[in-house]
Amino acid sequence: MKFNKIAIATTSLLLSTSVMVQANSERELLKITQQPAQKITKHVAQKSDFGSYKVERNLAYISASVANADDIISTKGSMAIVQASAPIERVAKGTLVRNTLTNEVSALSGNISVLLKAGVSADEVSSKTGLSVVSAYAGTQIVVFKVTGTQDLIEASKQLKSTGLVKVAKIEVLEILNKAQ
Amino acid sequence: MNKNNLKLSLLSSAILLTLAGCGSDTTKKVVVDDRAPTAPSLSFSGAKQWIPTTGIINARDADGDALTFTIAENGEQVSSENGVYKLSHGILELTGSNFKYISLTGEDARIDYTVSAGGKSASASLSFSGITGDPLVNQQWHLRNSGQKSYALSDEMKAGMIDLYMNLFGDTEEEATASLEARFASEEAKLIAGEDMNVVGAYAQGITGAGVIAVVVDSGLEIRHEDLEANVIPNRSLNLNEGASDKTDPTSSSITGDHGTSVAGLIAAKGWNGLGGQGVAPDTSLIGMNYLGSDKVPQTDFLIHGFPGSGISKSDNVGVFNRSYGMGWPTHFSYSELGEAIQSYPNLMLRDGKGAVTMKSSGNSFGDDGNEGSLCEDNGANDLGLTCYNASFEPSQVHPYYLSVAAVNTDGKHTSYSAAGANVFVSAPSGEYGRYAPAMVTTDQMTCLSGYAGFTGGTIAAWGAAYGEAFAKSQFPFNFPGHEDNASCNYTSTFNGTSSAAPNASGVVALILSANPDLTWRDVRHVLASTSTMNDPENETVTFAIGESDFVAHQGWIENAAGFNFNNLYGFGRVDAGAAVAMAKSYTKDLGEQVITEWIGSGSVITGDDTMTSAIPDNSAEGLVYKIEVTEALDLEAMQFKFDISNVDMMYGLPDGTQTTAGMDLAIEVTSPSGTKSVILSSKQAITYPAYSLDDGDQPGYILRNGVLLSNAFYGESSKGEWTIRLMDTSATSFATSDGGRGDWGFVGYTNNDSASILEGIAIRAHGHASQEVGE
Repeated sequence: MKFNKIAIATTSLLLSTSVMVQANSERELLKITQQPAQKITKHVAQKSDFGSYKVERNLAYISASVANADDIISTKGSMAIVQASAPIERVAKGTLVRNTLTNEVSALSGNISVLLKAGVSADEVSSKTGLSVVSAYAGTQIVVFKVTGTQDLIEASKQLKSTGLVKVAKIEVLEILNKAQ
Repeated sequence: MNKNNLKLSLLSSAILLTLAGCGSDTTKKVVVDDRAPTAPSLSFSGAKQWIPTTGIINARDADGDALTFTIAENGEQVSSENGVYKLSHGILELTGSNFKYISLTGEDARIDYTVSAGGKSASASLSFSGITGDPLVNQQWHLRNSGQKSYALSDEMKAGMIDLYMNLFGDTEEEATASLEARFASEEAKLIAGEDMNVVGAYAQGITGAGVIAVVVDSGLEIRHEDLEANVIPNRSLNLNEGASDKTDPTSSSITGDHGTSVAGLIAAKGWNGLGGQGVAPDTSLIGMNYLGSDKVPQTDFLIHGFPGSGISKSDNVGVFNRSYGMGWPTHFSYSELGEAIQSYPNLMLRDGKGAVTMKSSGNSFGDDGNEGSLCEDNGANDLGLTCYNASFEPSQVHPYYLSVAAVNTDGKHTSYSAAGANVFVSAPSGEYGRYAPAMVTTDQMTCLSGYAGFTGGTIAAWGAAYGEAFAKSQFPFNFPGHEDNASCNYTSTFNGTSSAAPNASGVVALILSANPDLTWRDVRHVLASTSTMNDPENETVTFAIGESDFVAHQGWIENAAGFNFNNLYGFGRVDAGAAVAMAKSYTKDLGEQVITEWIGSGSVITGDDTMTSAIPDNSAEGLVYKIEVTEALDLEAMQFKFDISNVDMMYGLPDGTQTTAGMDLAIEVTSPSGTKSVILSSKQAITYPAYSLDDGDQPGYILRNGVLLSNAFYGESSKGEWTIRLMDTSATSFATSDGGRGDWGFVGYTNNDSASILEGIAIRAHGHASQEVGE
């Protein structure tokens, strides 16, 4: 849905995230008395750890029910983001990552989605990498693997690419980039 | 038997025999007096609005004279076109004594008719009462545009505005009234009857979407909504939220409106149940998936494409996925092979291999998208009428498996927001904001305690806080609690965006597949391309100067060498349900096997090739021309173009706080072997940041990096021959931004690129089927 972009009078803040400022020929929409000062910070290139994500090694993702209220930085559903007691060393299911484009923090599922090269089987890749097959979708070259034991997701992804058996290997992040339009 | 013999043979008590004389004369004179025909009055009850009622007018002429009918309404004779009478309340079609009546308004109707035979006549009537319909359907202009206002342009709104102008801006009542009446008159002139999707034409053929499943991948779907529940397949929807207690219920917990519930209603709100309005395909079944938002379960991307585990089996008659979502950043996103493999799954694997079609909103960023600030106000795109964001910036929009849908208004013309691009396939109604121009009337979260309509609706709350509730009510009378037509706030009249266009087109796809379930996903594309209406036929080109030469940045309508009309604003035009269903029913085209060529080209986009270093001259209409020969003869269904284009300044801003114009100055025009031109990038578009890969992150130094653009303009043409690709840098202008670069993505200005952009790699890929031309 396209929201009508209206600028309306407020004392200090815009009223709604769906209400944005836009010069408009409709006079009733031009009643801007005050706008919050907007900082000018620019999107900059950030070194990512994989894809477009940077690992948040100082944050942990735990059930909100067991989190100390004072440690909670934010909550996501039934989960809480808290300061990690020690830096995260192994990137695995539940590790938090920050998207360098959206700046959103999301958790990893522990899966790697893979597009195999023609003629390559999931078992062949699994036996070479030690990754476990979560789903191998018949009729396609798509396989979902997960790390096992002490495997690190980023290292496993690099290992997958180095086998020469895959076209694409993508660590699954539980973030939805799309928005309603 | 001729007429006279017939007369003589019909000796009956009804024939008058006149005897001349009184018996003294033995000569008898027989006079046969022609008799008037008989005309029965007929009554019908329980018909459905927009669904034909058929019957026979059992008029007779005892003399066997030919019967002729005349139709009258309110005492005035109505003329016909080939037996079709257009009445104020419906359409009557007469073939001999057989009639077909379609109630357009749903009101009780009486049709007076006169039957004549042999110079005599009789009159009677056809009466229709108790017609089943939906109370809001006559406000759903996208289904049948009668010039209705759909709760926009109301008297309350005008009065509220006059009051506001007087109290807030100090206008006199005369000034305010004159101003508003002029505006209203201008807007009312855009309410044009007939500018719709012609769904009545589909229903007239007995097709209402039965037997087809539509999957709504969105923010949610209120599965118990009074006007959706009957079409929602029980226990087949998915709640994708991590930790959801009921995995089959994607009902949103938002109180400010659920996008997916409104989208679902446009596709398949139940028809003829006396509730709300109806969807384009009112008998199509629904599955909902609450994909948008955060904290989703693993493998969500697979589940929303119907992979195993989604509950969708390969034999389900899932005909269409609707995706009214997208991404908007001022960059071009790199292509993803994995993305294509996932997104093509419904097309290639579902419906027993015949495939499901995905309808995707083209985006709402024609004017702007916020992130880029005032860029398109400042670089001339807005004034020229060029799209700020190209619909093909997203990788999911540049393969033939997703059909990009643009949005049109009540006058058949472009909406203020619908993103354009050569990848757009079709367009569909969606409207504006429901105040000065109608939006969509569709389902909303139930009760006035949640939804766009109701106390907590975002717009109502914001306007109420700004100007008071009375004003908000005057501006959104239907959505404000208490409107007689919307007592429970279960419906909204302000839904819009390409979010609305996509589901309207999805509904048409459901109708097509209901009419002919044997069609493949490619057949559906062919039907849409062949039957869509050339709306806004006078749509004008947009031309601007590059140096001393002119560049046609928007081509308006073109006709390609295969006879298809195409426009970057509208694709093949506005979907026409009636025409599409008719073609589906009599479909004979054999598209054969899908054929996709390899990527053909050179440079960095071709594995093993050296990187090219071809400069694109600054501010030159001549540009850099590259030609690629295709030897395979395919009848084209889509054409992809892949580029690596770099510029040393295409980073994250220059030291002075400005950004290079290299990205926004890039334009690309393609000429097919048949001579058809397609502008796949018009320039002045929001490419202000380096290319971005969802798989590999930032791509500093690149305008396009593994960047794919799609054109549907060559549909039906042959792939064989020389393709000419002209890459241009369209400007040498530097400028400051009027907003001073507010926000995280804006810049204080843009500086013309000192260095030429470099073409490092270029390739094309054809999608189609083996040429069916004789001799090929």
